[in-house]
Amino acid sequence: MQARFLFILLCNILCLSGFSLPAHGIERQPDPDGCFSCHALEGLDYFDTTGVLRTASINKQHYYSSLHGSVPCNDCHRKIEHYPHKVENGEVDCGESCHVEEPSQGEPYSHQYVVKEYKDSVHGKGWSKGLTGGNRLEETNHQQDPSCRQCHSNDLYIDPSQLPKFMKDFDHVDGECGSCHQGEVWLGQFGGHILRRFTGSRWNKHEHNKMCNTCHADHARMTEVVRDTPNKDKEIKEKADARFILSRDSYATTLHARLLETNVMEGASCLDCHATDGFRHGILPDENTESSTHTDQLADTCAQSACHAYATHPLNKPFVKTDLHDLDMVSVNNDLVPRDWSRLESGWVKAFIALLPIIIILGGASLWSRYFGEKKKGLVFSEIGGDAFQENIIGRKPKKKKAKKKTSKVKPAPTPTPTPTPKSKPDIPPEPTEQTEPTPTQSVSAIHKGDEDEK
Amino acid sequence: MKNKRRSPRALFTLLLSLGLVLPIKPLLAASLYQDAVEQAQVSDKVLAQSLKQIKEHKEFLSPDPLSVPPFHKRASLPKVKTKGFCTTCHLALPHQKDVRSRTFMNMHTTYIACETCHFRPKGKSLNYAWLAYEGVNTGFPLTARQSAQTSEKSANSNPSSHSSQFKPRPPLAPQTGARIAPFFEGDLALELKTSPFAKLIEQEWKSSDENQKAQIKARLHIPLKKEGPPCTQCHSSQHSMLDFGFLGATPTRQKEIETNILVRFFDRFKDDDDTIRIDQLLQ
Repeated sequence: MQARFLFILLCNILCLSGFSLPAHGIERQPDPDGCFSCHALEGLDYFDTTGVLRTASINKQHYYSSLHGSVPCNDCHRKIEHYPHKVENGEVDCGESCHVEEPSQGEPYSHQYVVKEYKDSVHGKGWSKGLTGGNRLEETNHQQDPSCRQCHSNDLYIDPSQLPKFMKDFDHVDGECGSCHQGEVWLGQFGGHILRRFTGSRWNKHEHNKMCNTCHADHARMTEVVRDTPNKDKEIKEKADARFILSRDSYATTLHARLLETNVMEGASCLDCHATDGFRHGILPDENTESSTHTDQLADTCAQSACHAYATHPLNKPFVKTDLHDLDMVSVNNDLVPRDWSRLESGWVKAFIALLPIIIILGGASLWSRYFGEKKKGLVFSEIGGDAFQENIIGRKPKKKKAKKKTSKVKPAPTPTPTPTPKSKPDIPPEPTEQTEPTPTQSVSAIHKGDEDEK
Repeated sequence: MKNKRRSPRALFTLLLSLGLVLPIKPLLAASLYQDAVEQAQVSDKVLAQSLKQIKEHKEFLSPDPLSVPPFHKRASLPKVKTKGFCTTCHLALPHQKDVRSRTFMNMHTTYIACETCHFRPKGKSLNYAWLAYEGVNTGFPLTARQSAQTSEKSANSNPSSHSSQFKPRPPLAPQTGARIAPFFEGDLALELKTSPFAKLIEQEWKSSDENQKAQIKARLHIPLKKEGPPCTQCHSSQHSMLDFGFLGATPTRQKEIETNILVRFFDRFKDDDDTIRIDQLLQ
């Protein structure tokens, strides 16, 4: 009986101690294969056979502070076992799982879901595996679809610009969470993961656009693009049109872009419309019915995150017809614009065509009357403008030419008999003889003269 | 008796012939390397090989920078161009062919002069010290304090590594762009790109045809060894070619250099085609 009591007591103590002890994680070793014995050395540079400067040196401190800092090299470069390394053995498949555990489920972490979404997207023919340092050169040859590494590199886990917020969040995690979850390992493995969520998105909308513009702002590169356009049951390959090539230019004129340009983050970035959900890698062609930019989906896309919530209302259907890549907003100096016949579908062009007969009729009639019409005399334009305005309102002398013409054509009036000027009114200036109206300067001088006479 | 007077043209030809056969030393003291070049005897075999290399040579055109950024953050040393004579023709990263060693050899070029490894004349005792290429024309700009430190280090240095007959050139503190270079009898044993000898060679090269270039190339390379010394020649605690204490290394750093794990790893390679499992690196 006593032994049984002691056993239960012992079990209870163990259980209680288990609950009260802080939770510890398992320590991980990021360089179990000793790769940094060589790769941490500075200056491991060489020129390869094509003349490209290659570097085998990796900044160790940066690596440990990076997104992949807790991933052993061999998790990505799986086939490297020997030295010297063969280039093909260093190939990386971003869709593979690595030995890092996803904290919430405890499963091996992987980018496979992102890769799948990417593979189904318009960029899906880009490389997501077979990536080596050696074949970076092949991607310079105007490869249409970007590989993972075109947009992603091994950046710091916490971007320096986010450090102030990170420090604040760190205090919270360390204080609030740390009362139960203690230890460097937990903080490194789970705390870090949670902190990343606290700190927020790595890239802001500016950076999203910058990433897209790396390629899409390059007109020459975009001109070479061949698009797979889904058309009913078959796909059609067609050269990119001006609307596609100038998509960045037309976007730049929209309110969305201009808001972001002035650091108002309510503006919409490229991804906000073209990759609205999932892992934000699933950009689909507009013609695809599942695309967020398909006509049927546009209302939901505009209404997302309460941006334009009214867009889904049936009465606001025309709202979603707003063209955010309107070629008419792009500079006409662009060589690519006139070549595109799709511009004829523009509302401006339609309006112009509708008004063209009226313009032709009115313009033609005006020209006809100007050159062939009967000239009507007696229209005194000078009464409503020109000379009348100058003479009556401004008080300016009429043009001499006209005056000469008048004097030559009109008979001179008989000279009036001079009347004696009364001496009792010396302040009245004498009647002008040559000019009918005094010029403003003359009037002023005459007034001054009168003043002098007064004195 | 007919008075034979040599015409000025004949005199000029004689002088020119003598000049070719007996190279006149410049007024400035020639370096050990220059002496070796002037005394070099070029065999037909070497000349033929040199000519072949010149004919097969292709200009090294560096392509445009890659559009894809590197995934990992790089850690490269700053590329400081030396005024070493070799870089007149050779790239700053000269080792390209040997996949196994090229990166490590190129790493060494950032702090070791080419001649330290490739110019090791037989029967000559060389000393090795830091060389700041920038100040070499006017001697080493050492302060009094540095000189005092140097003489103290010299006293403590390993006498086996350099001749006691000559006072070794005082070492400079390692600085960006400085390299460990060979000295002979207190003088620089190598040539600089700016030296009269180097300029003369450069002018000759420009005005030469392929055959003459092959001759120049062969003469310049005869005193040199294609293969550098084995790693253990320096990375060794005994009979090291370099006196790390004299060069200013702390005892800890000296031990690190002498017992480098990678040297032992490379020492396991026996043939050129050998590959070794990386897990043996840590053994």
